[in-house]
Amino acid sequence: MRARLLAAALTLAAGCAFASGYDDFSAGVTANARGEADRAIASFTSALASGDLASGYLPSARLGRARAYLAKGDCTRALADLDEAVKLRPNSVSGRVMRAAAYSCLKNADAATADFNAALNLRPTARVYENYGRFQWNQGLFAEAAANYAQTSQMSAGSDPHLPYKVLWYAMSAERAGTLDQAKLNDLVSNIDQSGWPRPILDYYRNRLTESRVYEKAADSDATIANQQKCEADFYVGEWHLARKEPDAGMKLIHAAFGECPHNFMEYYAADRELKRQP
Amino acid sequence: MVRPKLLAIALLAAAAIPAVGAAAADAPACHLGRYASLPMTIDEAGLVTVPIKIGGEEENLLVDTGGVFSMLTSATAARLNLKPVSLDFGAAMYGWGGRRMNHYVEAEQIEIAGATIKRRQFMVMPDDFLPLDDDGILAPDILSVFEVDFDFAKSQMGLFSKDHCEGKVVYWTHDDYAAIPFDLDSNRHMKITITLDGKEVHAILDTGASDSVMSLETARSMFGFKPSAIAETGRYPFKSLTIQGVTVNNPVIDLVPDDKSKMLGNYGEPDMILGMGILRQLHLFISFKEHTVYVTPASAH
Repeated sequence: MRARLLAAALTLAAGCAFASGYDDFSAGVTANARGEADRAIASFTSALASGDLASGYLPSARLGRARAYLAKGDCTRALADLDEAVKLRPNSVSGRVMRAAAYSCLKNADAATADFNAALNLRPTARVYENYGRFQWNQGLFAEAAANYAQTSQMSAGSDPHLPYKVLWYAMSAERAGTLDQAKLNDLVSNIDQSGWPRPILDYYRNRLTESRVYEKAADSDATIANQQKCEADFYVGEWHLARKEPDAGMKLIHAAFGECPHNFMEYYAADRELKRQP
Repeated sequence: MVRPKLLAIALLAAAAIPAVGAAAADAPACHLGRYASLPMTIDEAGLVTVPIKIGGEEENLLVDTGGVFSMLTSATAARLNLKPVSLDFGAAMYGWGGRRMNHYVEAEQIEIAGATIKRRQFMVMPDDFLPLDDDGILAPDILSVFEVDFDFAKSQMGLFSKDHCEGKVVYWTHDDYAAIPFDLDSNRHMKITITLDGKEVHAILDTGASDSVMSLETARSMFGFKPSAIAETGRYPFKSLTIQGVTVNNPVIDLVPDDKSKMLGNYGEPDMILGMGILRQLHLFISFKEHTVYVTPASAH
């Protein structure tokens, strides 16, 4: 064995023609991380067809290709891969949660619900409750969503920087269901150790801040952040109006949120969902 | 990767060294004694997990060479009926983004590599710190008891005895390999110097990071690019990353502001975390004994 190194022999060229199933698998993971769905699908397909990919990676290759298919909106192919992934690794929570997303995309709410419940049976974690709550909110099951957001908020207390948003989604869902419990909301808010954004919106749902003050607080930052905070204020205040049966005021703000929120914000997707929900 | 702060040194003392297996005990002087091969999974985000038995239950632990102490998620601790205990004197650990952790649990027994370790302590971490299928992390407090071999292509993590001849560890190929020396800091992090587009950068090897990340401020200071150069992706199109002759072309490196990472760029902290996006392209044999990592391409056999 020759000692030490030879640079030429060890050069790892990104994007080169790969020789093994593992290299294709690795390239697929990289492509998904870069948001390159077509490349990810091609790489995972080669890895799965290679015949030499270690069996331990087969479920992940299916999950990876399914994620790429979901990114392209090809939910049928995603579901086929996810069925296989869950078959190969029945205890995979990520497989169940991702398959629930595929079922949801295919308008099969019952099957999605079954997968979320299976995921909770496997690992009742804050993130699964949060995902389940988002799915239920999308379905218009606001009381159920509120229960899951309350659960994820309680489980995340004291550790999660996204806790204010989880509590906010509890408040928003419960308000929409007509079941908002102010004492419970105050209890959840007491676990939040930050006073900055989006606290003003939470205080609005707690009837402690007026709408105009929320927008003043939203504008109190540099231009980029202020625009992002305004988009969030538009969405959550719009939802509050919808809950109060004020559709004109509510939908005007939801339209504004959809137009101004960055496309990687959850409020953008939620505004899109709300617009599609309206008759 | 997690950094300690004000942590009582006595809390998680050095890992108990498991009994040496018969094969290693009876081995000739230069034999490379393997304790065990653990089936390794790479999830679709590119992170590595291995199964470890804790209290008789099999748990998936993320292998995190950039961690400090092994940890269990709060949900895992609850499922195993392990009671969280507060660290003394207000001590705490801080993870990526400044997340605070200040509880630990004690497991009566864990099994790793066929050996049983009694009364092992784990820090408790938030559930959402890890991918959905992971129960905790396996950090250098336990890993550094062994020589650790990552055969990513064959999905095996080998745990070897440190009782071997110096430099005689590359068992998987007769082809060329690189031997990269590293400094092991007080947290058992492997610190190496790499060359990024011709400039020296201080990095740590971190299997717990799905991608490689670098301090934005350090990168701008070193390479002098304008914010607009990375506005869309948070990445700069570096051309090559070289580690002692091992070259990765067009490396994918996320640039993160120091006030967001809260663990890059400051004095004593690395400029960069070399994560799985790059590491999984390699076969790594980490010799904690020699402070050297032996490297070939992952597919070399």
